[in-house]
Amino acid sequence: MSKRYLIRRLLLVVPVLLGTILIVFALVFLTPGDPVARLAGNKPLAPSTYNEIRTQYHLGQPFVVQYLYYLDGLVHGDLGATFTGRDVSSIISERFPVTLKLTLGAFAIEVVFGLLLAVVAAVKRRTFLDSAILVFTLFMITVPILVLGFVLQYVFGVKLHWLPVAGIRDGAASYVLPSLTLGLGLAASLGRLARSNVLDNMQGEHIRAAIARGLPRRRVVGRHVLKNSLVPIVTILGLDFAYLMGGAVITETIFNLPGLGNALITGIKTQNGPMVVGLVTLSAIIFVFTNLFVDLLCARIDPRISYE
Amino acid sequence: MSDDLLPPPESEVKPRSLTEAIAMPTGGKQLTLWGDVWHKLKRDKRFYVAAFLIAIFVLMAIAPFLFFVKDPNACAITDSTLPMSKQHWFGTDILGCDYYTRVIYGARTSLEVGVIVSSLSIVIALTFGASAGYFGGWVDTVISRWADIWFSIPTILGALLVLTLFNGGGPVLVSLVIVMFAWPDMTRLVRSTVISGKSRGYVRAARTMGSRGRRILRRHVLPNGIAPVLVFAAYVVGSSVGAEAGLTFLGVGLRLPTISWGLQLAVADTRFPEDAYLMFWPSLFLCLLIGAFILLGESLRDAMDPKLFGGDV
Amino acid sequence: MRGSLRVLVIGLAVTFVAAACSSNSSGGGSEAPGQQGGTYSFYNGEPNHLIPQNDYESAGTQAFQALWTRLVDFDPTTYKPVPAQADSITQSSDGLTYDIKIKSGWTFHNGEPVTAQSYVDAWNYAAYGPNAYILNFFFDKIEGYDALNPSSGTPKTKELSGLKVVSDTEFTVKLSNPFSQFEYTLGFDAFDPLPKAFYQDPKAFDEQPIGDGPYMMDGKWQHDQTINLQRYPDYAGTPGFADKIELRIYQGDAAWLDFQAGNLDITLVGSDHLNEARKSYSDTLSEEPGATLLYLNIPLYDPQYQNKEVRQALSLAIDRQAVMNAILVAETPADDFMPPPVTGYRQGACQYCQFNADLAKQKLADAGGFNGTLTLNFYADDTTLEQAMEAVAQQWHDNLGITTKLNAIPQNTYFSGSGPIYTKKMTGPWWDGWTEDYPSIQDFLEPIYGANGGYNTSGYLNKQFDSTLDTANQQSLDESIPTYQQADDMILEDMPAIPWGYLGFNTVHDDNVTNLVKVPGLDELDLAKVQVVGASGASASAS
Repeated sequence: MSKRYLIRRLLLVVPVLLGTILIVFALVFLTPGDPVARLAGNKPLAPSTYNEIRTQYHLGQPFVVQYLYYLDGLVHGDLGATFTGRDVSSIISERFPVTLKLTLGAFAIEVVFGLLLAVVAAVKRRTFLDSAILVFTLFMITVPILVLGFVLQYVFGVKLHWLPVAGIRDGAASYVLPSLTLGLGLAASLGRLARSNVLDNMQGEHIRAAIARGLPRRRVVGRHVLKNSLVPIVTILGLDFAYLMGGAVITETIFNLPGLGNALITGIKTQNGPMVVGLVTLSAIIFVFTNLFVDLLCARIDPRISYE
Repeated sequence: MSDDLLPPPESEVKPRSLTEAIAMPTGGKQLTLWGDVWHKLKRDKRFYVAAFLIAIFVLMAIAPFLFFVKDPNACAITDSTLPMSKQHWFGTDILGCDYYTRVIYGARTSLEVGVIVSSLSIVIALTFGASAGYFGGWVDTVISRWADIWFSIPTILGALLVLTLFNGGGPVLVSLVIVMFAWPDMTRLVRSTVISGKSRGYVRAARTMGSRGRRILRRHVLPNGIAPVLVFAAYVVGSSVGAEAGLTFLGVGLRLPTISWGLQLAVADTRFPEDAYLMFWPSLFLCLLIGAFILLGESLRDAMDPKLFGGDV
Repeated sequence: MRGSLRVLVIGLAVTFVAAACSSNSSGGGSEAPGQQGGTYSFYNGEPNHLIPQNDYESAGTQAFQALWTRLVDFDPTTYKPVPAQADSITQSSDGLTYDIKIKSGWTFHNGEPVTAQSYVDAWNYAAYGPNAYILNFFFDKIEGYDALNPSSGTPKTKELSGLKVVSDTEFTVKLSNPFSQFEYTLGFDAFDPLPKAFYQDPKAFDEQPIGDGPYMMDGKWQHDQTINLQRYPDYAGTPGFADKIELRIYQGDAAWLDFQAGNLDITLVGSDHLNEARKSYSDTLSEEPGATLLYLNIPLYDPQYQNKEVRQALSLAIDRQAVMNAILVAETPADDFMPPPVTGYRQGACQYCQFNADLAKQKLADAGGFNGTLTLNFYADDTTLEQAMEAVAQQWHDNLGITTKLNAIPQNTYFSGSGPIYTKKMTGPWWDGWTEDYPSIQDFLEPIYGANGGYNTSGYLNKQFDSTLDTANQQSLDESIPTYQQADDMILEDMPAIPWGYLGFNTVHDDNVTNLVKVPGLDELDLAKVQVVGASGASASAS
């Protein structure tokens, strides 16, 4: 691909992110209510305290001024602070590893199980195994993530004591159930999609030819079919990865993981503007760059894709 | 000549989301005969399962009285969380309402959300997606970048924010908010389909014969683009029903006295694991409804995709 | 999920109110001294801050309970203040000045001596407006407060004129007006002392506070995960039993499941799981009313509600116990305008709080009935509360024939200054609550129903009530209680609000720990008194 294309794509990131920040900022700004007054529950704060905190956070200022203050902080690497005085950037850096581990775990499950299911189902198509996989994957896609989470938590954590129930005190083991909760549905979707894709490619003439030539079926599937199915699969994987943070919200809530999704819920409910804007912007950045990366990767895999 | 006027690079026609990829035509098919599709659907078991389930749910939504339900609002707090019995097939919920009745009545809300979201998405997609794809140039740039912005915010996060703003609401508001963040998916799909359709021979032919742009779009490009949109719409019904349940569970979606599976799950969550049946029934119905639309989408896709049916699937 | 109103600040994070009471209370602290050692874990929420003057929710105060020793604690039966870190507190004859002597030989966890100056400096810092500390308003009774909190501009002084250091162990406090309950207020964390290290870097202090209590921080506060405490070896008071305490931070239901899985030693039980706890953990479950009154506030500015018989009827028509059996399980029906662990509470004082549908109907008929729809308001995003409100509305409908409607208002606006409560725009009765700052009857009367009460949001105005409160405020502490009760009698007849229930402080624990004792008068567990079974330094919980 040309360098020019890459630069154009990178430049496009800027207006998209500015727009995203503006929208999220506006949403938070428009939400009625008074986050500062709530610092003391339903009890009235001293007027001096109340006014001082509002001044510190520019809360009395018009929308545009607040937005500019935020952008100004942003270019200086300052993501603002919560109403309890913690830096949003330190909260993000503290919590990011948690969400990243959860996301990578879920992603690994998606890739491994998803592709495995797809290949098995495609190779053994129209057998009992294929049908079983199709029913199973359909069930995994449809079961609400919160139900799956609660059931896994209860069965494997509370009843069987195999795995931790909540928190991240037990290292990698803490991430197994949350990753399964988040990853199984994705694996099932990918599996179904990839199955039809693989089948599709197996109809291809070069594959038929290869099989006719007597090449081992397994090798044909591995070498040729999967490779040809790779572009759409990689695209889907990229999107799933980019959106995982959105999905992490419910999972982190169920398993009490101190990650970004959890922080976002708290931020929204306590009307913590800087936190919400920071987190959603981060999610958008991850999204945009994952997307870019995927496009580049696809060009590598399939030289027929060209970029001007 | 700016590069916006050049034909778009192939890469921009590739799928940008899971649902889009499922719905996108895999081959360079041209669908002209709907009868052909129907013929194929008739041979697909999945289609029958889906149609049967959807028919049941639609009946539930428009005529719940056919299902031997009671008055959904006849609740007595003293009958709270009774177990299953002849009187209460699914037991009673925390407020002492007949749970079977409440679960049946929940179908209406879920379908309402699904139908509103998918039909609105279709309208938006056909308007903006087709314009962007067909006219290209600055129209495409404006629409695509605008879509990019909304696309970059995950639906659940965005909807969470906006619904907090509105303080929850009825099924219509929740649907509108889901559309607000879900529209770019289908719009992009239509845009891609139109772009690939535009270069086809019959469109060129129409143009050389002097047809005007809008007419070509309406008469030739759109009818061919509608197939993937329909497939996609089936998935949107399923995913928006799921999104409603998730948002309601997170506390920003529907509120009492609306009867919804999402609300039932939110209540069940507070009593899990003790009263697990509260979670089981709405989950089961939710699974069946979403599953039915996924099967419908898949059977439609395969029916509209000649390549897959050429072989021994 | 339930939330107390003070706790509601951080809302979602802390699901139940903290309050404490002894399980196995008969044994209690008078048992033969158990052996020291061991580690145990206890449920907590994520505090806003770990600076006592800047935090106002139960997750923080539970931590301060171990990290600091307050000037006064409260008597387990009368709930009157008794000196703790204070040696003695004497009121002058005009009632304006308090002479506070503190115990000598006490040190902060960094070895710095606790002196009168440690108190005075901390109070001055918190009372200074520009520091914007949340508990600033606790100091408004002290002379010189206005100078530190001018309505505009920077204050000219940084010190409260009412505070005078007499010696290392003695200081005096002068109030602007006599206030008989001042000694009670000293039991709140706003009045804790701060070491010099605090002023050098308040932000760093917040991450690893240095107090003067039986336990000190064991490493930094791990946000959203744990606050680890270890016994302070040089503590001058009664030392704690356990070597280490893990205050584990949870959101939502995870704590209950973690307890069931055996990973958490002690947890609080809210309405959602109390029925289950009564079945499965009856031997270690302890239930006692906490320090929160939940009530339905009434818009007295709406003519519909200005007849007291209407209000009495609304209160009589609710079967509180039925709703608490099914939904708000962790609550007990209210029978006074303040909860039991408060000086001045009288059992059964509220005659209109008993469920009596016939009397309710009659009262409403006498008042001329109710026209139109009654809107019941509550804060959104609390599934359990929503169910309970639906049940209450249903009862009003069934027992009084009133058409009712539910209105869920977002938490963000509910309590905000521009929200419907403070701007007096409520369209009907609303769900409200009051968590005490100190266990005195006065804290449940004057702020809510007094003419100048900071939370008089119903618009209640009763001159006789106000003058009775004035009298009580100027009496001595002991004299004042019966006078406050006279004022209570007036609102028990007038019913400017509908008392609903008392939120319980319910704990369960596993076999690893014993001797759970509630802090008298407050919604806290006495962390220092918990003993680890078979302790000899063996690590307790964990998984």
